[in-house]
Formats: sequence, C-alpha cells, structure tokens
Amino acid sequence: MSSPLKAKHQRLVLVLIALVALIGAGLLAAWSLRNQASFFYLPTQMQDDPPALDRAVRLGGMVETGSIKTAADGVTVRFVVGDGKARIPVEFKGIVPDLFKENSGVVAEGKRRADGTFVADNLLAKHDEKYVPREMKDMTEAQARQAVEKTE
Amino acid sequence: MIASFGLAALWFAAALALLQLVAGGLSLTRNTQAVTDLVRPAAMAQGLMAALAFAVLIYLFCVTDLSVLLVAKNAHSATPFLDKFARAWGTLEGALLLWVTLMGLAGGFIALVERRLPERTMLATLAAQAFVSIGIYAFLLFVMNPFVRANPAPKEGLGLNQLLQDAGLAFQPLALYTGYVGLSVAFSFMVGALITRQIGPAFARAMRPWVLGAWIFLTVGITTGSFLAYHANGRADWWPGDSATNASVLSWLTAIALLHSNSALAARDALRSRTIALGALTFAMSLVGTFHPFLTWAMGKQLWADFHSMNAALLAAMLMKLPWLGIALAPIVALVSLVPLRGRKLRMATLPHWGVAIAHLGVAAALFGIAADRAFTVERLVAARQGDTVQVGPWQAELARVDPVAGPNWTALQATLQVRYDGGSAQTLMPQARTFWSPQHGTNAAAVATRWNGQLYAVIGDEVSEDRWQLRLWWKPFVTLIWYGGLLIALGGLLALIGRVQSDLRRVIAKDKIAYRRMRQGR
Amino acid sequence: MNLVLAIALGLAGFALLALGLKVPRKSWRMTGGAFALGLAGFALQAGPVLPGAPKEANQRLATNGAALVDVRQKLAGNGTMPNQWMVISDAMTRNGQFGNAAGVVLGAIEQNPNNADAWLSLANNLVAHADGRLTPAALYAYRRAALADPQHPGSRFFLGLAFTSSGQLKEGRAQWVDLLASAPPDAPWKTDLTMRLERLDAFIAAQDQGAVP
Repeated sequence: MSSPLKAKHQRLVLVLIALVALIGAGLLAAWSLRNQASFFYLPTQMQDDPPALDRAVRLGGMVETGSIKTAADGVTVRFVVGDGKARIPVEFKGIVPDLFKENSGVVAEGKRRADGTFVADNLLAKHDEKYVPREMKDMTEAQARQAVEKTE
Repeated sequence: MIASFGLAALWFAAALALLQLVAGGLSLTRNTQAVTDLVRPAAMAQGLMAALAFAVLIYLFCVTDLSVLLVAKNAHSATPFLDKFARAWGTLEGALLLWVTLMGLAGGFIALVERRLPERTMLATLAAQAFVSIGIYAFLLFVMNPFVRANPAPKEGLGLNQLLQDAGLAFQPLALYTGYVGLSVAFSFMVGALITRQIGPAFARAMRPWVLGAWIFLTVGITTGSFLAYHANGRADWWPGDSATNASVLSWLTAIALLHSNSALAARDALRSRTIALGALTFAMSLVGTFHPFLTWAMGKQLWADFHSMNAALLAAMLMKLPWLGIALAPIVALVSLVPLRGRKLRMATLPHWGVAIAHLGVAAALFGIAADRAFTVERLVAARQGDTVQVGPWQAELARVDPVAGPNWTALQATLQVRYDGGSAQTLMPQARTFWSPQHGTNAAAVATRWNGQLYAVIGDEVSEDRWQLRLWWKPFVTLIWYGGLLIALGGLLALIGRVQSDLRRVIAKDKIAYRRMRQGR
Repeated sequence: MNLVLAIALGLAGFALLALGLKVPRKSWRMTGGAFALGLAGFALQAGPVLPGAPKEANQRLATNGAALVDVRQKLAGNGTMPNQWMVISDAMTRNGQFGNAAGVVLGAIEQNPNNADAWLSLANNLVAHADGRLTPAALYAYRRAALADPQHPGSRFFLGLAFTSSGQLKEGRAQWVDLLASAPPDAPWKTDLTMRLERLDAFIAAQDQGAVP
C-alpha cells in the first residue's frame, strides 16, 4: 500500500473481520440446527416415523417393568421404553440418574441405530430441568395417571 | 399480624407507584411546581415501601410462619437458616416482590442522585419506571399475592427439609435478578429520553452505568451458574442448558450489543435508532428471563422447551460445533482486546480502557476454554474393582477403597481414588454417591483435581456386582478458563464502570465549582 | 387490629413524604389520595385478623442408641477385643450422635477391614442416622459385616431389623428366619429372636388382611 491505513479504516477492517466471524458462526449454527436434539419422539412416533440415523433426538416414555438389564461390562444398561402402544429398546452407557427405575418416566437423548435400538448418551429423569412430562399425555390412561401423580 | 403489615406495605408501594406515574405524566404536560416536585419523593418512598414488604416476606420465611400460604406451601420448619432465607425469593411470588423492590430502590436512588439529564427527561424516566412496575404490582396484588393467608394454618410446611447443598445456589439467582432489574431501569431511561426527545450523548452517558452494572451482575450470575451446575450434575457438563440459563444468556448477549451501541451514542452521537432498538430488545429479554417460571407454567413446558431448545441449539452450535474455530478465534479476540491500549502510554490509559481490554481478554479466555474443553476432553467409563487402575488421558487413577460414610442429611458410598498425573505424585480424590431421605433422592458428588492445564473430574456410580463399581472419569483440559474468563469479563466491566462513574463525578464536581464561583462573583 | 397497623404505616409514609422529603403542600391532597387508595385496597383484600403461626423445628424422634449398642455387644459374645475407636463410637451412638459415630468407626475399619463388629456398628449407625432407612451405604456395610464373619448373628439380625424398620417386612422376615435356622442350639438370643419373629409374623398377617393401614 502506498499510504498507511487511517485509524478509521483500521477500525473498519476489524469490524469487518468480526462481522465475518459472526456470520460464519451463524451459518454454522443454522446448518447444525437441523442436527440438534430439540425434537421429541414418543415410542409410537419413533416406530411409525423414525428419525434419520444420524439425527440427535429425544425419546420419552415409561420404562417397562422388568426390562432394565445391566450388561457384563457393568456400565452398559439396556431397557425398553414404551407408551402403551409401541416399545423401543434403548441402550445406555453410563451412570444412570437417580429416579431412573422401572415403571417410571424417562427421557433419553441420543440417536437411533440401524438395528432399531435407540442409543442414548444422556438420560433425564423426572425432576431434571429439561424433562417434559406433558408430552407423554397420550400414553395409556393408567400410565398417564401414574406419571401425572408423580410429576411435581 | 406481621403478614398483613407486609400486605399493607405492598399496597402502599403500589399506590405510590401509581402516584409516581400520574405525577410524572402530569408533569410532562402541566409542569406545575406542585406536580413536578412530587415525582422524585414518590419514587423514593415507593422504593422504601417495597423494601419493607420484602423484608416482611423474608421474616415470614425465616420464622416459618405457616399462617401464610406461600410459606406453608414452600417452607419447612427444620430447614437450616440459610435455606429459609433463600426460599423467600425461591418462589415466583417472592422473586417478583424482589423485582419490584430492586426496581423501586433503583428508582429511588435515581431520583435522589441523577442530575445530569434535563429535568423533564428525568421525570419521564421515573414515570416510565413506575409504569413498568405497576404491571408487576398488579400481578402481585391480584394474581400471585405472596401474603395470602392459610386458614387454618397447617401443622408443618409442605416444603422440603433439605440442606442447601451449596450456598452459591441461594445467591446466584439474586445476581441474575439484579441484572434483569438493572436492564429494566435502563429501559426506563430510554423511554424517558424518547418521550422528551433527548436521545443523545447525555442520555447515553446517564444510561450507561445501569446497563453496565446490570450486565456485570448477569455475567457473574451466568458464570456462577455454570460453575455450580458443572460440579453438581455429575456429568462434567459446564453448560446447564435449561431454559432459565438460556434466557439469561440471551439477555446477556443483547445487553452486550446495547453496550457497544450505547458507547457509540455517548461518544459520537451515532447509532441512535440502533441503540433504541437494542434497548427495547434487551428489555424484552430481561422480562423473559424474569418471568421464565411463569411463562413455563403458562405456555406449557413443551412449547417453552421447544423455544429454548432452539435457542440453546443456536448458542451451543455456535460455541461447540467447530472447537478448532473457537481455538483459532481466541487469540484473535485477545489481540483485538489490546487495541484500545495500543498507541497510548500505559500509564495514561484510563480505567475504562483497561476495563474494555480486560473484558475482551476474558472473552478470549472463555472462548479458548470452551473450545479446548470440547476438542480435548477425554472420558473413561468402567466397572472397576478395588485395586484396579484406570488410565484417562495423562492421568492414572487407582480405586483404592470404597467406604460408607454419613453426612449431615445424607449417607454415601465414598470411593477413595489415588490419582497421578503422568506418573507424578499421588493425589486423593473422594467422589461420593449420596443418598438423601428428606426428600428421597440421590446425587453424585463429583471429586475434582485441578491443575493449571485442566481438571480431572471423577464420579462413582452403582455397585454393579460384588465389589465392582461404576467409575466415570473425565480429563477436561483448560475447562477452568471458562469461569476465569467469565470473572475477567465481569472484572473488566467493573473497572469500566468505576472509571465512568469517577469521570462523571469529576465532571459534576467541576460544573458545581464553576457555578459556585460564578455565584460568588455575583454573575 | 390489622387496619390500625395499616393506617399507622400509611400515616408514617405520608409524614415521610410531606415533612421528610418536602413534597409541596399543593400536592398533599394527591399524595393523601394515593395512600387512601392503598389503604382501601388493603382493607378490601385483607381477610379477617389471623394470628401468625411461626414454627420451631421439631425434635427428631431419636432411635434408641443405647439399645443398639447393647444388643450388638450381646450378639458378639466374647469374641471382640476392646478397641479405642469402638469405645468412642459406642459412646456417641448411645448419645444419639449417629453421624459422628459412623465417622469414628471408619477408623476401626481402616485398622482392620475384617472387623465384623465394627462393620456392624457402622451399618447400625448409618441406619439410625437416616431415620431408620436402609440406605445403599448401610446395606453395603451390612454385607461387609457378613463377609468379614459369616458366623456372626449380628449381621442378619440387624439387617432384618433395618429392613423391617424401613418398611420392607418380607425381606426382614427372611433374614430372621434364615438366622434362626442356622442358629446354634445353645445361642442365648434364640428365645428373644423367636419372639420377635412371632410378633413380626402377626404384624404381617394383620397388614395383609388390611387391618393395618
């Protein structure tokens, strides 16, 4: 350059860089939004209209009685989540939250695997901030009554 | 009896807010001395009355007065004192009462000391403030009244007898609420200036400390919230992700935009409409944050959860999708932050300049911490026997023993881990799986080993079979930078605030001196 | 009574404005009006005069610590050596300081992880500390006691006791039946245990029939 940038122009360049970074981040966010776990599935929904295999979603329902089994490695847990009509097997690797037990509500965050199992990387139980009990209204009356009783 | 005293104070506070609004509005049109001289005193008295009502509510919770319905539903006689104290604002009714109290006290403070703006603008500001408060007062008096009685008084409160496992949890919401109120005060300034068509540098300078102060409180509240959640959730997750936190972060972001725009207005009388728009947006976000629990109840959790998970996704995606982007951005931001200091002798740099630089450095630090944590975290999940050693990143952790222990209101199974960084000397970590019975629940008390370059986070789970224990360990490089960064941001803001207030005071004193001198000379 | 207080507050507020904050006389009517409005709202909304009802914390129903210690020592027979940790913790248990006692017993266990009596004391203290509930920590301690000395009657007796006191009657009964079955014929505590079992059976029967809620 023949003459040095004036202070005003320097500011402009900085602002432009910041703006580009911000827009870039925004675009990234918009693109990844379709992958984010904001979508909630009941077992019936997951059975009839399953999400794409790489999509992070939530699955909520009642833990079937007698279905909780711990694998030999001691840290993998398999159980079945149902809503009175459909049943989805779930696999979770980790320390289960307190209040996670049979015949109680649970919300699992994770992805569907090709063999139909839902692989969860996080389990939310009743009093978790992100737990959404209302969604499970369409379950069988008995289970719903139980869920309502126990919620708040 | 004391409860009805509180109710009376609340009614008087509401009435005074109405008086403040009426007198303020009238003073803009009629401008008689009788009316204009009423506005400031009304604001001061309103603040005191609201504070009195809130003090009564705190008292009622501290003595567990079960004749008050709110206490009966939310308190318990056996909780420790600090708990009782904190529950006063833990309910929505209490939080809203706190809100009008802070707002009223702020209004009284402004009425007492703010002299930089033209009188008409001040009156319009106070009227606007009263207008906002009246809505909340009406809500408090007619929809969710904290002083409603329970007749007959029950034998024991329905609240839970629970030790607040962390004192920070009691006060973190206070920081956020102070922030929200501060932003509402700034908004009142804006409305006042709009009404009297005084949007300019003087107004921007008057509003600035309120936005800055509020934003500092929000920063502290958000940073503390993240820190506490990280230690409490047993998943080494520093991003709470719940809708209340998301609302606070959105307010925080819009406040930052407002701060920048407002600075331009104060310095160069530029960006007027942008400042106004941002002011309105920030105020709206602060209301969302304040009323978040009510909105959740009103809109139904799912709708609210959807709205906030979208926002959360946006925020999370921005920060976490490409950690390497964050790592690259951090030094850039750090360099940019030094710009205001460049070209000036360091001794000549004023406090606000230092404040801006430090705040931006804080952003860089936090950004780096977030990105590094995302990119470099190593996690191991095993079922270990006593004597087993687990390798996680550069750490070796040996499960030495598991003991049953008792705490004040819990029992726990406590693991003793001997951990070594890269074969160095051994440190002891003791994570616990706690069981409470009042109410019945269990938590994971994580144990943490902190180094300059990150944290080892250890959690113990269930006993899966005879003497095999679930153990989950994370090595989180530079995660502490997130909170140090947050504190730096708040510190930077504080320095800037002090700097501005100092220079404003000096200006006022200088003006007074000149006026005094003129008076002495008979001019 | 409430109204009197409210009026007093209103007057004080008015005085503050009129005299303290120097509101001009011409505005006194408007100010007074505001206070009157507030008072009217309060009077309409406030219900009948109700006394306050502050509540002090209740004393916790204390488990009989002394009984726990005595029975445990009896069941141990003459096998145990005096241990400084146990002496201190037993004193605390007698005093109802179950949490502290649990902490002290851990010292004995650290010295000798196979001290069944210490494990038993720890387990009992944990249950008493949890208001009679059988927490995972207590369960673990009972198991370690049984592992350390499978012949010791204490582990099954106290575990059965803990089960029943936390409402799991069938599990408690199972422990006692098991204990009785494997008891040596000359055990001094057999009669006592038989009686307890009979009482428990009666209770369970009554509960099954719905007589006990």
